[in-house]
Amino acid sequence: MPPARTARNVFMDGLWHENPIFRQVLGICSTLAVTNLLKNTLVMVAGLIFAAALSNVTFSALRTMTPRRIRIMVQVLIISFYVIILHLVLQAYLPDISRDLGPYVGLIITNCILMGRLEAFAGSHSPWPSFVDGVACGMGYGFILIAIAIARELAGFGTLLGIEVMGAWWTRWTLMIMPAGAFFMLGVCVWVCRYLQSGKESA
Amino acid sequence: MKNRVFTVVFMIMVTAIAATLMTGAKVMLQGRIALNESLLEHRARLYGLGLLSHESQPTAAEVDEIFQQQVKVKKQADQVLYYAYAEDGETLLSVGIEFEGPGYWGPIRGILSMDASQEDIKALYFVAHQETPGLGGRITEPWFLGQFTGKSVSSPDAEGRYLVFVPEDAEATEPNQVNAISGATRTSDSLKRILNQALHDLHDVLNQES
Repeated sequence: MPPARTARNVFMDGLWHENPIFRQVLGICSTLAVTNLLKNTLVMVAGLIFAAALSNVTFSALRTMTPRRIRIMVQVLIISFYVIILHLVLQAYLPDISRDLGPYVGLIITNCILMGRLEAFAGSHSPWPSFVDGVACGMGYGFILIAIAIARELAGFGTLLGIEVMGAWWTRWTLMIMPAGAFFMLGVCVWVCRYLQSGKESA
Repeated sequence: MKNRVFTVVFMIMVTAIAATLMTGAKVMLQGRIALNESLLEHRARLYGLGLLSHESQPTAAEVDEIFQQQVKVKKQADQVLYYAYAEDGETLLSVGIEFEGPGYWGPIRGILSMDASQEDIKALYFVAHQETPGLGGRITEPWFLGQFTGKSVSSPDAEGRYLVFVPEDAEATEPNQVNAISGATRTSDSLKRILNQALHDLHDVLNQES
C-alpha cells in the first residue's frame, strides 16, 4: 500500500509534479480554444476549478456505494450537474460574461481533466484529499492557460484584459490569436516546464 | 441478481437527485435569467438605434423608460421596424430594422438603423450571435460597431452592395467601406451578406411606405 499522502503532497502533485497539462496532457482542447483572450481564460479556469473540486468531492463520497460497472455514467452525471448549475448561475448573475462565453462553459463537461481526476483520484480517495486534488489540478491547468493567454493576447492584440498595453507601434501578430498560435505556445510551455522539472529531479 | 437490481436502483436514484436539484435551481433562477435576457435585448435595440452610446450601461428601469417614450415598433411586410424619436417624442432620429442571418456558428441577430434622411447608417448593434470569442466574436467590439455610423448607404453600387468590406488593416477610403476582421473571414463574409440584405430590406419597406 502506498504511504498516506498529505494534502500538501496532493496539492503540489496537481499543481506541478503531475500537472494536468504538461505531465498528464489532459484538457488540451480547451487550452487551445479559450486562450486567445485573458478574460475568457480566467472565467474558464474559475469554472473548471469549481466543477473539478465539487465533482471530485461528490464522486469520492459515493465511491464505496457506486457499482464499478456504472461508475462512468455516474461520473458524467455528476460533472454535467455541476456545469449546468454553474451555467445557470452565470446566466442569472453575470449575464454579460455568460453571453461572451456562451459555448465554452458548457464545454467544461467535456474537459478530460474532470473525468480523468474522478477516475484516477476521487474513486480511490476520501472527500477531503479529493477536494484538494480537484482544486490543485484546476490551478495547475489554470496557470499554464493564463501564461499562454497572456502571451497570445499581448502578441495578437497588444492588449491585456482588453486594455491597450503595447501601444500603437505594435504590429498585431494575427497568427497568435489563431488556433495555430495556441499550438506553438502550448508546445513552448510544455517544453519549458518539463525542462524545469527534469533539472530539479536530476539535481 | 441482487447486484443488478442495486445497480439500476442506484443509477435511478442518483439521476433523480441530480435532476431534482437542477430543476430547482432552474426554477429559482428562471425569472432572473428571463429578466436579464429582455434587458439585454432592449438595451441592444437602443444601441442599434443610436439612442444610447456603447459605453453607457443603463439600468433596467432606464432602458424601459427610453424604450417606452422614444421608440415605436411597427410591423410592415414581414419586417420589424423601430422608429426612434428625440426626447420630445416627435423629431424622428433614426429608423432601424431587425435582421437575422446565418453566421459562422449560428444565427446573427441585431438591429441596423439609418438616420432620418435615410442616407447614412445611424448605428449597428447585435442582439445575439455565437461567433468564436476573440475572433468572429470581435464583431461586438466598439471600434467595429462604431465604424458603421455615418457610412453612406443611400443606394447600392453596381454590384448591388450597399456596404463594402475591406481588410482590417486597410484604409476605408470610400464612404461605403468598412473594415472586416482579420482571422474571421467567414464571419466577415456572412456579416457582409446579412447587412447588405438588411439595408436592401430597409430601403424596400421605406420606399413602399412613401
